[in-house]
Amino acid sequence: MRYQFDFSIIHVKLSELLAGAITTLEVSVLAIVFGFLLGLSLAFLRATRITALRWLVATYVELIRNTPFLVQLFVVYFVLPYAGIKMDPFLAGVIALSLNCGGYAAEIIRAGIESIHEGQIDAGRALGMKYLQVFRYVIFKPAMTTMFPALSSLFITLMLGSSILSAISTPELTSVAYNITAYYYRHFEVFFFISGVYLAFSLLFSLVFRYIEVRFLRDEGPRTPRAILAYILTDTLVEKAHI
Amino acid sequence: METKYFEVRALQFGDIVFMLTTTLTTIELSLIAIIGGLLLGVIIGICRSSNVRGVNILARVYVEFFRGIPILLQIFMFYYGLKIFAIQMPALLSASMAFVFNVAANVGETLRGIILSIPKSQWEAGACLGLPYLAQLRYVILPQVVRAAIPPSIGIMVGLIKDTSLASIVGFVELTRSGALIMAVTMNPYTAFPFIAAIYFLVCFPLTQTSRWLEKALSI
Repeated sequence: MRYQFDFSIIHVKLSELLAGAITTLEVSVLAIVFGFLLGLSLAFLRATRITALRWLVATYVELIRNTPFLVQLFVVYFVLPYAGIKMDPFLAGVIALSLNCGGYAAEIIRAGIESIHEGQIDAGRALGMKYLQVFRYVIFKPAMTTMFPALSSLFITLMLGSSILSAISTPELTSVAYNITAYYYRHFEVFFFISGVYLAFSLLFSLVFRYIEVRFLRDEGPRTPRAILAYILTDTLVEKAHI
Repeated sequence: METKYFEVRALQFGDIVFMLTTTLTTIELSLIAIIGGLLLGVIIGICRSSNVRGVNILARVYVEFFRGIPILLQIFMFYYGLKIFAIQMPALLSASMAFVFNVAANVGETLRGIILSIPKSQWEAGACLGLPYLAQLRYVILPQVVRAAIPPSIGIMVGLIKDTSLASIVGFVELTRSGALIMAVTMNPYTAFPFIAAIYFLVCFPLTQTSRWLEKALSI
């Protein structure tokens, strides 16, 4: 093997890579927020009694779930401008990711809502709860508890999927890395390094989601930040060690 | 006066034939990857649910790695990694490498969930009937595992078909790449990409529905 590995390029270009990493986080967080809101609205539209609306939402969800994200991205970035909607790669990326995330989230949220038995709502009312209380304690929290693991893994997948935005040169991590390799021909080193960054991000995201789950969706358990963190970390380590 | 070098034109018969040919390439790529991925994934799944600590941790590191970094980067790393080691192989094979390893991680994790979800009493029941270990595995456990594994495997297959679109980014000519090429020739993204999306949908949707139906039909 004649190839000499040279990782000094990472050190030289660290600030650019850092900027890319921050853009990746920005894009992901924006898309998670908008995607979740879209998914929530779609799920509620699908629960209405208007058949046409239900069919429309179902069609959207199936279209999103059965076509590649790259093609959806190209449609948003290349086709929409011809319909008079022009946007820069950053905005197009956020929009495409949100539309995609919304489709998947809608399906998860629907399953979560369906897991609440109708009798539960009646029971809540019978206990003298107000409508908002019923929504908060009987529908929202239990449904959220059911669907949270699926949602958090969807959001982590979305963050990883934001690397695909490099195809339309949104200045996120993969795109920045690709541009660096185009000048320095250190493909393997740079991609190896940013793989590590993505791995760290996915661990960070899963820690944050676990924190939210333990803090807000459990009725008992640790409550102070330090105790929750300790709980999550030992939990992860124990899983790592066995089974 | 402005000179027109390119003219915007509509899709022609040849373009459509090209897209359908590349659809076959996409399917070929997916089939190679799913076969390789299932074989490797079964090994990963068994290691992942094993009691031997070292084996288990190794399998877990493998799964975390391939599920924790973007598939696009896995494609890049295989593409440039193979170049570094000067390994020559047919484009179809080198393009499918990343997908094989990625699918294996997903299959392994799915299998682990299924294997662990089978109650211990099932093994014990087999033992009570006087079956030797291999017979317990063959007649009691495996049928349940295979039955539970079919719907999620189809789901993984659908995910894989969609992911193969990313091979276009390193220049492998499959369905999505053909769309980009046709857009460059016709100067008209209006038709190419919606057409491509429709082809993906026609391939994936029946699979999704089958998986859903099987999930209901096979559940006990």
